[in-house]
Formats: sequence, C-alpha cells, structure tokens
Amino acid sequence: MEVNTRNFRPLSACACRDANLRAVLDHATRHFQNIRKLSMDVFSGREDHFARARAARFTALSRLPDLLEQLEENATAAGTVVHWAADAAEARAIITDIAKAANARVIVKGKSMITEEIGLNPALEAAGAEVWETDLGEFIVQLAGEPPSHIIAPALHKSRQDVVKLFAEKLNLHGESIPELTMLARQALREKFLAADMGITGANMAVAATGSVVLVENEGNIRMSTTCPRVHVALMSLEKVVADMDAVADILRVLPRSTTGQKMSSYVSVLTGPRRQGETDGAQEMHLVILDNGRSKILADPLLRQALACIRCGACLNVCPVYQTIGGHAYGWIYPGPIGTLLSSLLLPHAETRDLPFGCTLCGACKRTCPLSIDHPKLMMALRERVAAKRQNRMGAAHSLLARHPRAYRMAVGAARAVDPQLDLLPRLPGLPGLSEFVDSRHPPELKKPFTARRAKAKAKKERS
Amino acid sequence: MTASVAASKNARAAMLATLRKGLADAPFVVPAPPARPASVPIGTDAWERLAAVLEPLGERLRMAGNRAEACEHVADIARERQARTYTRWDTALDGLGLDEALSSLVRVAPGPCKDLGQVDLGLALAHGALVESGSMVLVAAPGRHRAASLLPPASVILVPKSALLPDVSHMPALLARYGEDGRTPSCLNLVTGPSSTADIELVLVRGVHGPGTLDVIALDWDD
Repeated sequence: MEVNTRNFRPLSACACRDANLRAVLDHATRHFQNIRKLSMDVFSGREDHFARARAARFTALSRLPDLLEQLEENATAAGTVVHWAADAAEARAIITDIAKAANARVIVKGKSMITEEIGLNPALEAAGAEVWETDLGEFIVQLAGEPPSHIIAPALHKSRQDVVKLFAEKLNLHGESIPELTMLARQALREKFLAADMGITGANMAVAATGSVVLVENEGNIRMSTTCPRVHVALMSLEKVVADMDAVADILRVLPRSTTGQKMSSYVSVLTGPRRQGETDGAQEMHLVILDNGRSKILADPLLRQALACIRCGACLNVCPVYQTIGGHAYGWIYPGPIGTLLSSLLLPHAETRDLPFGCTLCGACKRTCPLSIDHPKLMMALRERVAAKRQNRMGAAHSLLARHPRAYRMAVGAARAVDPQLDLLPRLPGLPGLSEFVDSRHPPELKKPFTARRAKAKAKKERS
Repeated sequence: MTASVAASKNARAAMLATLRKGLADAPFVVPAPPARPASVPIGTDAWERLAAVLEPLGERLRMAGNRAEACEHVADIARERQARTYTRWDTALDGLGLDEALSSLVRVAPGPCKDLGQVDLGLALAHGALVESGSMVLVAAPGRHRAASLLPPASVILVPKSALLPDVSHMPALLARYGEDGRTPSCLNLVTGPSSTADIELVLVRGVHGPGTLDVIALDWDD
C-alpha cells in the first residue's frame, strides 16, 4: 500500500469534517468497546492472564534471535520451507518466485496486515496470478479498491448500501440484506477456494518449539486457504514467534477476548508442516517467510521495543479519541490508531512520519486497555522527542530557557506586548527564524485585566445588585 | 540458486546479527509472570457447563447415553439440515454405526476439496472439548480429514466423555499426545461455534466460509 503518512495532518483535518464517517466510527468503536467489556467483566483471573500473555510476548522478544533459529530448525524438520526477507521487496520476490514455481494461477488470501504492508497483491498480479482476498471485509475493500480501515474490521467504513452497489457493479451479484450479501460472497469465494493453487496467510504466532504457525479467525477463510490449495505460504514478521505451545495457550486466553469479546475465536489452526503421508487435504507444500522490514533494529531500543509485543487485538483503536474522530484511513498507512502510530513511526522513514506521534492526546486510554500494558503514551512522547531533536527550533529553545526563569519570562512577554499587545503581528516579521513555525500551534492568551482588578470589579457588581 | 534464495541467506544473517546486537546493547530482562490461574476441574456438571457455553454460540448440545442414541441424534440432524450427502472421519468414528443411521444418504469419501465442495453434512470426533470456551479440538491425520469440519454447511462434532478438558491451557499436552513418533500433528483446529462474520455493519452472520450450523453430540459413556 502506498505510504501517505506525510499527509496525516490534511487527511485527518478532512476526516474530522466528515459527519458520516464520524457516525460510523461512533457506532463501531462503541460496539467493540461494549462487547469487549461484557467479556472482560466476567473473565476470572483476568489480570493474571494478562500478565501471562505479556510475559509470553516479552520473553519471546528477549530471546528473539534464538527462537527464530529454533523455529527455522523445527519448521524445516516438519517439512516447511523457511525463507528470510530483509525488506518488503525481498518478501515480494520470494513469494512471487514460489507462485511461479508452483505455476499458481489462482491465489486465495487470508486476512493479513503484513501482506498489505509489503504490497503483495500488485506484485502477484503483475506475475500473472489472479489474487482474491477472502475475508469478507477484505474482499469488500479489495472490490472497492480501497485499503482496510481497521485492524480487525477492514470494511468498517462501508455501509450495507455500499456493499449492495459494489457487488452489483463488480460481480453482477444482487442481494439486499446483510445475510444475503454474505451468502453471495460465500458462493463467489467458494469457487475460488476450490480452484486455487495457492493460499497465502499471515501468522498470529509461530511456535519455536514445534515449528508451527498459529492462525486465528472467525470466518473459516483461513482454514479454507490452508486446507484446499496445493501450496500454503505463511508470511510472518519476525517478532511473531513465541517459545512454545504454553505461550500460545496463554496468548489465546487473552487475544479473542480483547479483540471481539469472544472466549475463543471460531477457528484457531495450529499448522505444522505440509500434509503428511495418507492425508487427503491440507497443503502439499508449505512455506514460511520471516520478514524483518525494519523491525530487528527496534530491539536495540529499551523503550520502543515494547511496541513489538503487540498481538493486534485492536482494542487500543476503539478507545482512542483520535481514532474515534478520524478513523483508519487518515493515518496514511495500514496501521491505524495508537499502535499504528507507533508501528508506522518505527517502520517507515522518519521524514514520512513526523506528524504521527503528535496525533495523540496522551489520555492513556490505549495503555489502560492494552492487555499487554504497552505504554503507548510514553512511547509517543519518546517519538515526539525524536522528531523535535531532528528539527531544532531556536524560538522553541529560547522559549524553553525563558520558561525556566519566570521573572525574565514576564519581562520578555511584557516587552513584546508593549509593541504588539495581542502578539499577532510579531510572528509575521521577517528575519526571525523559526518564529512562525513556533507560534503556528500556540495561541498566546488574550490580554486581560489583572485578577485583582477583575475580582474588585466582580465584587462591586455584586454589591450593587 | 535463484536470486531470491541468495538474498534470503543474506537476509537471515543480517537479521539475526541485528537482533543479537540489539539485545547485547540493551539487555532485555523479563520478570517471571504469576502462576496461571487454576483451571476449573472437570466435575459431574461438565456437560451442563459445556451446554451453557455452547448455547450463545447457536449450538445445542445433544446428550447420548449409548451408541444407538448417538446415531439417532445424527439421523435427526441429517433430517433437520435436509442433508443428502455426508462425509465423515474413518477410524475415529467407525465403531458407532453411523453409516447405518445415515443409510438414506450418500457417503462421500475423503479426498481433495474439489470432491467435497458440495457435501451437505460433515462428521468429526473431538479429541478435546474445552469446557471454558466451548472449543472442540480436532487433530487431523490420515482418515481424519480437515475438510469434514470445514466444507459442508452443516457440521457435527461428537465428543467422548474422556475428551472433556477444562480450558485451552490443556491444548499443548493434547497436541503432544496426538503426535506420531514425537512429531507434532500437521494440523490441530480449535472449532468454537459455526463460521461467522460481522464485517458488514457489524451485524453477526453465521455460516460465511465454513459451516453455518454446528451440532455437538455428547457421547456420555465411559470408553
């Protein structure tokens, strides 16, 4: 997907004016918060389960290189072909090579953020394959030619009417009600599943001790994509590995509940290598692609690396006042909301993401909601510092110095006010570098009479009445 | 060796080196987590608790005290779902007499998905039933095809009493137990309710790509 994070400001300003979008977001984020709360309220031992899931993820990060090697060894022993990709281009090349070697004409895909991250679909299509997104939400946004707008509900921004029109225009399929539309998608995609040569999925987890890939879903499209086609390719970012099945169990206790309030998602698949001798279904050829794309270097940062622990439940999006207002597309890349801001800032070039960490009120709702207690606000501040360090502003430095010396501050402001009472003319003066940028986001208080004078006036008024 | 294979080798070395250097520069110490909260043990009320968890998922737990009752349930379900064809696991279900109960239906043998795409009813056996979440654990193997619980619009899973387990913390042991010669099974599925989606306006629809209905039959006798 094209990176448009540079336009975060205009995109979010535009989104703020979209009343329709606001209504959709309001409904959706409330819905997700509500179903999550109902489930969490009755989750016995919740905090201990959260702590165990957190430990499972953090322990994995603390042993990441060793676990990846172990994963490679065990997956290879199970018959999976393991590939390593340093960046998006390498991952695309590896997967298109696999598709070509397998002579894959029809490819079905399970919902996966990571394949969006590397822009896989256009590469496969350029290689001559027909690529189908099979998660209903992803299918809808693929037909519409749009990117997903929520980590777990990609077509959140589409109404039933939008889908009716889309199916009629693009597929010549006609339905009205939501169950009807869902059945139409089932029939259309069932044909593709049965015809597909290759299935591509992400991975919710990979298990070092067994070489397995764990996939979590509700629709069954991921099971279809891994059961019917000859070839299965799982693409994982390198931080998704966990030590063993116990870690998987600890995370599965928390992930579905935090995502949709379910005790368990409809389908969890633990896949270990291709089908064995005598089995009649499952992929005959399994590939695991381990992708870096800027993640490995984050492990050296003692604070920021906790963003790699994320299990993509999406709960932080739903409670974020900024996400609730601007929605997913305004963030300009595939990862929206608080965790998206962190990931985009860490994975994309700094110059592309300068504004993102400022799109946060520091209210802390994300941190309180995160089952792994990722400290988004603290990370956001660190990212702001990083941005600020990159563009030193003399006016900012001068303001900071004055602010530490109240008497000097008052004198300076007094002097400035003497020539420009409302402080609205000075910034327009040429020859003061950085001033216009400094005042751009700051509004000096209006001039008022001193408090004592106002108090005396109020008192006098009271006495008169 | 193609270009991408060479690149993959370089990438591997570079990725591991960066990770190792990162951990060396900023050591990562993770405090030990609390003990996992104790599981609710399987008691005499386990079937009732399972039924209560399955109900909101749109599943009715049908109790069978013996083989004949189990077969009766299966025949009832086939009738209710208007099934004309079925596919089932072999060895795991052979002793139940299901084929006699479904003699009016055509049995489709396990095979590639293309052959099973139109089958109406699929039967499988749970290796585990997690009471806390209502999840059925299915472990694939020869004669236990994955498609049986996936392609047909109506799915039936039979649960032996011995399969009842408290929760997902018991899944790792189950996975280890069903591996052959110490190998992890090729595929383990947790199935919790029918296939579902809420991708259009957050309205829940059951039966999107997988089965629209899931019936669970409790085989309530000691093996």
